Amino acid sequence: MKFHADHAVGVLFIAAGGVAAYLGVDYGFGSLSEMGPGALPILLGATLLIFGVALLLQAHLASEGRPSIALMPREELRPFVAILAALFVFGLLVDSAGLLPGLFALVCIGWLADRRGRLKELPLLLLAIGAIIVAIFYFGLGIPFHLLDWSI
Amino acid sequence: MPDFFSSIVLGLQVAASIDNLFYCLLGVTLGTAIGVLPGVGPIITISLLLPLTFGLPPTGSLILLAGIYYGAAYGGSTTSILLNLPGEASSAVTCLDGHQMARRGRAGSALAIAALGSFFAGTVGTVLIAAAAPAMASIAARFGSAEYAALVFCALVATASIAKGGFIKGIGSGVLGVLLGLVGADVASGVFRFTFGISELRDGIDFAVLAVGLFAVSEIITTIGSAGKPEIVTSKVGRLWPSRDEFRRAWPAVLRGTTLGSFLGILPGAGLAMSSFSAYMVEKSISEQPDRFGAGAVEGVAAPEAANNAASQTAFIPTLMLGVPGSPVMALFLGALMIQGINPGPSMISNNPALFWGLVGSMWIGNLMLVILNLPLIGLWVKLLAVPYHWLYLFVLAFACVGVYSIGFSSLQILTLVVFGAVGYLLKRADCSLAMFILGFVLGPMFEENFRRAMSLSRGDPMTFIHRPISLTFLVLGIAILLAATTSLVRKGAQEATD
Repeated sequence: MKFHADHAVGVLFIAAGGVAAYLGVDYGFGSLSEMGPGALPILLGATLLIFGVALLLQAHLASEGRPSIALMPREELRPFVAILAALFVFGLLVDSAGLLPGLFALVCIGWLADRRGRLKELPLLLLAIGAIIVAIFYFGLGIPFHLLDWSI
Repeated sequence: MPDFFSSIVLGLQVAASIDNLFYCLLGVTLGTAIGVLPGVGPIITISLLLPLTFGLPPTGSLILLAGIYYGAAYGGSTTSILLNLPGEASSAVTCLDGHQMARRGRAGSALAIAALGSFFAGTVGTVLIAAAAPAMASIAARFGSAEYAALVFCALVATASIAKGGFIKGIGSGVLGVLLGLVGADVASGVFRFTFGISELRDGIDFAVLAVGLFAVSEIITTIGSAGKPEIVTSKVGRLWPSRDEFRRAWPAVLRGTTLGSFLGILPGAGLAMSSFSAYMVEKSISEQPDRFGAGAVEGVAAPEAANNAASQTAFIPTLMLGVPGSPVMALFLGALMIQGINPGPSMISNNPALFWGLVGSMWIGNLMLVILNLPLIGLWVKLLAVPYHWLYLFVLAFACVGVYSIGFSSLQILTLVVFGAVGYLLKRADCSLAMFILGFVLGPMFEENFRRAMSLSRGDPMTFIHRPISLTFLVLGIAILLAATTSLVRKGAQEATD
């Protein structure tokens, strides 16, 4: 049996449905006329579980001779890691160091996502993005960001 | 009838106030500017700009969003025609003949026909909303909890049956979205569900963060990965005004497209994407020279663009009158309404006449602005198309990030963004429908509330959904679509297994 993205989705449905139904029991089903907070999680979780099983069966039956879909093509690994890391580091920096350091890190790390970027373009991009974001959000919309926090 | 006109006048008055005209203009321009960027469709544009609208008064924020929506749709057809790069499924059809026209030096004419056709369809759609919404509201006022629950069921099933990736993955993504929509405090009992001890999750997952993560972040990752650069057609746009012959062919197609689109747009779920495809198929099948299609037939641009725009207008009818959106874009709209504290539904017209009619009025004004402003500005938009993607995505990323952060000034929101960016990317790669996911998320709480209330009103008898005629109609409709979808699925599966 070849691995197919559908298998992963089936497992996801089963896991998510199982967790929802399991936690739903804790929240309490109530009765049919007085449904508790757990009723929908149990019903929908069970439904999702069934769909997950159905998907696995279907993927299993149809997988003969079907090309396997990789969940992540090789060329997307780099942007996947770089983009999410850029967002993550922005989140870490923006609270403590302010908006500008956050943006600096976001652009620098995000820039690594695409091989076509040239190093000499980076300073200009940093400047342009910083200027546009500050112009729109800080001055335009008047959102009180800490642009730069020296306290750390 | 005098009611109808006084409402229209009220709407135009509200929409023509200086503030609202400004929001409309701002929305249309921003929407076009961002929507025209390659790889950025209406859904991404709206979710990116959603945080900007939170600080505005309700009417202003809706008018701004509506403007962004039309602008983005218009920008999308521009990229379809000039670059052969559709921003979303419904503008994929425009690529077929629009891009061929551009290759033959008729880009200007194709753009003008798309814009004029859309304007005509938008006008008809707006009039239809004004005429049909009060009638729809009086029907909807008779809906009880059972009817709403059945309607949500029907809308989710209908949308899942045409979701890419197949019915099971479509409906499964929808259920996943519903479960995610339940995160937070249960309205009836106050029990915190699925919060895993994280106190920020008690209010539920922030809708704007979810939308930006699912659509914008995942799209950036896939677009960088698919390094095959689209060939940039920087060839001249050419003469804008269509020739007499093109006009003669286009206007009946616009009429047919508008009719078809207006009707399909009202259907819960499914409507929008179906409208442009079916309009194209109709044109091709009634044409005397069907082989011209795909080689730059004017009708192939005019009809789908008109149908798409008419449907995107009439799609507001179920969204605003029933609170049941038929497309992810409408789900974003509904989310924005709820953030503003407005409950869509039949009472919206009577409770908030200025808001409702103002929005309707601004729809028409927005469409008018697009035609007047954008045809002359087309040269500017073409320049924007030339911005290389490896600069562009950094701007989009920064915009998304700062927009999301500005909602709550909490780095937890950025963390949520990271999680949903990853989830959105993986679901998309596995061919799961993100549209279903967001529809489920928006409709989930509404479904739960009505389902539980219907069950308690009937003293726990689930037969209530069958004994009530309107509810039964929705159920039968939903199950009929489900059966049609699964049987064809079974057939396809069997075929694949035997191949």
